[in-house]
Amino acid sequence: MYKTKQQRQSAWYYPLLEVIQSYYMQFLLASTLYVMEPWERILVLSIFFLIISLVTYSAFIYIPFHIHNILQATTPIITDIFKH
Amino acid sequence: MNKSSSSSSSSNSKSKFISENVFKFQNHEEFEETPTWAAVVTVLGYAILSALGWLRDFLRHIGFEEKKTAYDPNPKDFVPLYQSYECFYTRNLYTRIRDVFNQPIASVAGAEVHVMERLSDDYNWTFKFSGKKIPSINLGSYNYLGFAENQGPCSEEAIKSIEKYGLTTCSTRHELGTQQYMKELESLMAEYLNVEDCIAFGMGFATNALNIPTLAGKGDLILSDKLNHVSLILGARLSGATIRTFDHNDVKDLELQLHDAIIHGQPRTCRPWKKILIIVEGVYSMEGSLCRLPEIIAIKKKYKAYLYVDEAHSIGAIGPRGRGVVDYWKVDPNDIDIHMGTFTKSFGSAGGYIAGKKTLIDHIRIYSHSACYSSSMSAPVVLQIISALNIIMGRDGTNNGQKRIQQLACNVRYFRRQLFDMGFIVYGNDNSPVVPVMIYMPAKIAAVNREMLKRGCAVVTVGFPATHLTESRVRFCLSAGHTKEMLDHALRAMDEVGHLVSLRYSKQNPHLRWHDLNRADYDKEYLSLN
Repeated sequence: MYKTKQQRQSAWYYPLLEVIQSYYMQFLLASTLYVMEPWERILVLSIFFLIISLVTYSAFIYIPFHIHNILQATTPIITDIFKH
Repeated sequence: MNKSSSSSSSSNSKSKFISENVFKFQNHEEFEETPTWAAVVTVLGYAILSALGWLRDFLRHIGFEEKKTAYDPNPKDFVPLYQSYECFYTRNLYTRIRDVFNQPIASVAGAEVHVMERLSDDYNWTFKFSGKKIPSINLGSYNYLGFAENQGPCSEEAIKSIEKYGLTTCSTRHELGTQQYMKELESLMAEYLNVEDCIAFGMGFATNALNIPTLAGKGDLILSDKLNHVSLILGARLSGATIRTFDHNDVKDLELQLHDAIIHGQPRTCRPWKKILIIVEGVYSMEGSLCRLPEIIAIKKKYKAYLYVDEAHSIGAIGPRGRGVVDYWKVDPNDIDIHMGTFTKSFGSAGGYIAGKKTLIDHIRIYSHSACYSSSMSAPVVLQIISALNIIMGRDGTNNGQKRIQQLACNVRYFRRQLFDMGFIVYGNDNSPVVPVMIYMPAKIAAVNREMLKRGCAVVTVGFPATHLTESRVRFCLSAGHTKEMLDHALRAMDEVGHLVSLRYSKQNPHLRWHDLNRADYDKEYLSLN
């Protein structure tokens, strides 16, 4: 009358599938996507990815310029040392 | 019967031990701290759900989505009716997981129960019954000694009593409602608790809410524990006395408050208090902790205050002879001024009682609201309690009662020990039959309940507002009616669900699966006490 889930070891990819399912379930639970309706899930995920992509884009465009600026201002140029 | 003290001691500074040289048994109570990452993820989860709730409320307000709850039409110049967080919470968070709360059942709520399956098309706003009844192990009923059954000596007594007395007296206690069985119940209960006299009422909640006003009034001080039940809080507020709270089970805080109260007196006039009443509970049903009775009694004697102990969950379930916390701590019953308890939990019936000295009970008989205005208890209810009491005290000639008490103690130790060793955070005292396991995150409340029901265990999961916002838990209530096979099945189910949902938060104990535990130890411990 009472049943617990039985493991199926028949094919090689079942353990992998189970691991992926378990991680997916835990992701849904920790981010509370588990209780949301489908359109809410899409909305929340798209807002999240929008923010991530904005931050990544800004990082790609602006960080090299800033690093170049900082290096230029702080490291001494070899030719200047020879002149003085 | 001597309790064998076989609970292992984890010497973590966060757990609280009582000094062992005072008692023969070891009384271990532990509340492990919330891991920080779990608290952060929980709060972020609630933030996301709140933001989504605001969005949905806005959509309902502009009419894009249809309004499914009762709403006030908000006429001009009127103050809006519903604006508190609780309504927002109910509309947006509670309704999403509403199918796991208030589940209707279709059989007697004994050790096994049939839960009716409900289906919903529109995300829990409306339900339809599919007609299927899910047989499951009942881990949610307060059926501590297993008396909630529809067969056996108790139910036969109850049926005979209907034939003899009818169903109701149609009267209050003050008029024609004091039947012969009421007198028998009260004298039996007074003997059970080893006090002078007792009075019984028809409803456990009402016993607290309507009798504290007769004991305390304006000019009195009530010191109640922070985690007291709503009935005690309601009774204290109705009485009109000044209420101060002390931290949960913190005897030093209580002493500090008492000290300050006696020195400074009443708030504006600085006159001395007319009386000071300390209200504690025997077993706290959301935490599973026991109150520190000997220390509180020492303080009460020193400062000359009165003590009110609410033994709703502990009467019949705690103590070697089942007489509650008084029996567990082995204190003198005359030290506690007012013993209160309910018949709902261990006796399988309904109602509440107050017991103590005869003068006190005589006062309550005359001045209580409940005795004066509510109708008296009906015959089958009282006869069920009387037969259950006879079984527990051994008056029916068998040792059934003692066996039930021992079975409950075995079950509690077995179940708690294994859950603890598997890596779950379990709150409370090692001997309390209430076992709360923490789940913290809001989405997991629904997941745990649904997955456990799929595996044949009906559990109770609680979140806000019954508990703190970030401390939601699943609360198991063990019973003497559970056999070892049922407990094993429940533990296996909990192990699987804990793995699927990732509930193993403990930092003190390693995270083990059920088949990793050494079965021989637990079996030995279980069988040695029988």
